[in-house]
Amino acid sequence: MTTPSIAELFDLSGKGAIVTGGGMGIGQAICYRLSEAGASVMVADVNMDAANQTVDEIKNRGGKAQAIEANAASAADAKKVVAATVEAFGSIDILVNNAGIYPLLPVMRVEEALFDKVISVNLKGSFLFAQTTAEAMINAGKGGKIINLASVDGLHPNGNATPYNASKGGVIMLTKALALELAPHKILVNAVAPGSIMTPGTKNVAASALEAGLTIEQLSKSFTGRIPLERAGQPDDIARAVLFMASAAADYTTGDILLVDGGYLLS
Amino acid sequence: MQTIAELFDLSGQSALVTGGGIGIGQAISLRLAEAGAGIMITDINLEAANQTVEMIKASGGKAQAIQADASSATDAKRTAQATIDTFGKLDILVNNAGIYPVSPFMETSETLWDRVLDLNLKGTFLYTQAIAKVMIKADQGGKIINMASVDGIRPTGLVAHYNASKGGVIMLTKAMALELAPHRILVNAVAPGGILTPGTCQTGDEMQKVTGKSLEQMAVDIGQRIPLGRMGEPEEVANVVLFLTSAAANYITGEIIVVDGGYLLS
Repeated sequence: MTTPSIAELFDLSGKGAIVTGGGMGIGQAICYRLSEAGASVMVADVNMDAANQTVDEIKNRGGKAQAIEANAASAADAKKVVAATVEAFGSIDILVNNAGIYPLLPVMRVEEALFDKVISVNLKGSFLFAQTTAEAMINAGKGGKIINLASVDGLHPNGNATPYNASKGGVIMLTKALALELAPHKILVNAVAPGSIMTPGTKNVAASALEAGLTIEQLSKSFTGRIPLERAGQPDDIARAVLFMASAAADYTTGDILLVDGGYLLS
Repeated sequence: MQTIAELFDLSGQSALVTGGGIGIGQAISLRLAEAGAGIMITDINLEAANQTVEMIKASGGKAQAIQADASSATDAKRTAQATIDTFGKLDILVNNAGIYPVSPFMETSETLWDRVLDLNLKGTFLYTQAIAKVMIKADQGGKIINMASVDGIRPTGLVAHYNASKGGVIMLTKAMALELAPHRILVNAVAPGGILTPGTCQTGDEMQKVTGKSLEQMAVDIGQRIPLGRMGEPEEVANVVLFLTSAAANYITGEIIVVDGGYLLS
């Protein structure tokens, strides 16, 4: 086999990518990196203004992108987004299931409706988008890459995020199950598991958690305590890992969960 | 914000790769050299190490060979010093050297056990300690990549000693990552599955003697257990090592990346 150069490994030119929740935070950073690598990016978000902002920035940098309003938990929206991507870019090669919510609340105050909502967006949404996208990938017969956003919270509880913990634990095993079943179609499924990352979303969570009666000490422990590298991560730290998984450098890796947590799970 | 090209640029850095003479170690040396790093290639077989150096020089890279035993504390210190003398610094260590002799558990001698554990596990400890000492002194952080294996996570039979050594490498990686984090030294591991190398071909021969199965039958057996339906290439492991040594992985430490075509899923 001819060995591709390093530049070739990370070149995604001609590829079409879907990023759910691409309007802000980690999703936005992922869109920027995939676009920088040459991919055309379909930015799906429930907040159309946010998705449009990501698209504008990509276009400013000379990349190709399109925004689409979509609920990550909806099967109908998954079909709509996949169809729009094929129409806009000609192919779907990469799906990043990034959209997610993480309300902080003590377990005894979690209502059924909240539990359902978290599982629906974080876990069922990943299933629905993966299934719909994989259908298009299988039809095209060229394989593909699916990257799910897991979390250290899917491996280790930190308190006050029970539905989130359950949803991300589910995403981890869903990733492995999909990887096993989709391997014959050369569709590789992996996950990136972030630790504490500074995003607009985590700031909102902090504000709502304070309102819900959690103390600053509890919050600080949730976010930056116990990290061996002694800093919270940036959205781009996660985007770099997603770029790696989407690239040819990870062509023999499937069903893997890549932790990007500054060593948090070691402590 | 660094561009993608900048993230994977190792120009001005230097790397020490143990067992860089053949197979996965050679592929790693070539990739890191392509990224711009100066490579110190250690191998017990100096001729093999020299061949890798020639390949790197032929493509315009910088490298030097040194004969060293990957299980020797003295050699760890000597190669660390040689790297500093040659390249002025030491930024990356890849603990790649390892052996995997096939031997049924009940026939495995204490001598064989010691040899495998000394090289695969203790060697990783010794080299990391010696190189981290240099890195801490230079105070610029660093990256250490250990070679684990899917055999450190799940046994396949006939290599209990190897399983134990690689299981140890996985936890050693996490323990060192925790203690070296304050010095900005990131420690991670790559866990390859079935990779086609001169070494694994030899393992195939040894397996054949023990199991009586034909090489063809073993290849079919292995292929059936790998969801991607094929064995991996040394370059595919090297690409993941490149990622971990690069700035793209600056928030990752204590992590084990499995590169196995999905083998552990099956």
